Amino acid sequence: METVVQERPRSGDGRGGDLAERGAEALWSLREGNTGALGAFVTDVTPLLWHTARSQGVDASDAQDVVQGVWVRFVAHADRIEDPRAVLQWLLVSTRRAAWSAVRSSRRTAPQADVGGEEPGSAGASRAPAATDDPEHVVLRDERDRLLWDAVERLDERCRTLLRLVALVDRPDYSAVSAALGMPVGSIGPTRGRCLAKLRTELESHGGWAR
Amino acid sequence: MSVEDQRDGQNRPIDEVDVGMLAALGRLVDGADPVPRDLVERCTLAMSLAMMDAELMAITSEGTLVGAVRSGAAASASTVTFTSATVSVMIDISEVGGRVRLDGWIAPAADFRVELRRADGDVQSTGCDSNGRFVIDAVPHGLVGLVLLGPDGGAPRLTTPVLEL
Repeated sequence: METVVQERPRSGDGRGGDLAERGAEALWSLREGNTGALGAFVTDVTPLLWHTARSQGVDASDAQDVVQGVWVRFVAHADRIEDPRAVLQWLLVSTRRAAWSAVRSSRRTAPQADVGGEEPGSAGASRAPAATDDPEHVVLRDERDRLLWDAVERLDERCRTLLRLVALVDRPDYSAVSAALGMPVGSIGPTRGRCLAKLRTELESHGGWAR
Repeated sequence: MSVEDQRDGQNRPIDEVDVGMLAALGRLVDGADPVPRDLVERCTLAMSLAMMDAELMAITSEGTLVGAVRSGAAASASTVTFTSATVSVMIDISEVGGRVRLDGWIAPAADFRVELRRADGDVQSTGCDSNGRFVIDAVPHGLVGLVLLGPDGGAPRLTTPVLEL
């Protein structure tokens, strides 16, 4: 026997739609106490949360706790998230906040902690370099990879953050990720948006990337 | 559309070059800092434990070698203790023939049902004796969570954090 929750849209099976729709589906599933539809959503969104946490300078083991903690809070807060279409945004914002406090508390315990009032990850804040900022860790297979990576590095921080996250999803989800980052100006898809246009301009001014 | 828009092409539709650039960037981001292998499983399990509407116990002591909570060392023989306000559980973890055996002791002793849950939904369950002792045997290695349920599955309901056996 299945209890039908009135407001739930009928169409969804947890698979169709972009990440915003699937986030709404996940929320409805949670409210019904059903975890079945959550698996694919957790699988697809966890990489976005992981890279969001890591981009704030959280070390690898703390970042695992941050991501796990955000998913657990999603369960606990399911009844308090007002807009089901904003689930992805809620998850990304919660991850960023949890990452900031993880960085703050690890600074407090670190012997040579920087004393800075700014939020970690904001421009000008002194922070541990994010893993993805470290060229040693990036496997650049050829010159095209090098050009692309360097061009992304030259963009402003907001565009860098947006493009690195959008790059982790497939085309139908570009808009959902842009919207979840609250970046209407830089937003990507259906049009190219400011950040992707800037990246293309960067690449073209360095000899081009397309074959 | 402003002159700048036209020059930058930001209002043009996304084309195959854009999609190719993003796909290549995605591969670089993931390659630079891959998502830990078992993170999705860990999160899924933690969510299913959180959905049990149970009190989360804290780890209060760990013997050596327990890979509790975090990935890392896999236990060969070790002890871990969990506590809540009302109940504590001590578990001896040992390895027998490539599988894991849990010898548990709940204090104060009461009529608990003990469940061992995995991310894929698999559950092994057992009762405890009048001294609060229980055994869960032949457990495959991997991520698990323990759940204690009162008689008839009711209160008190307690869970441990995610453990790596």
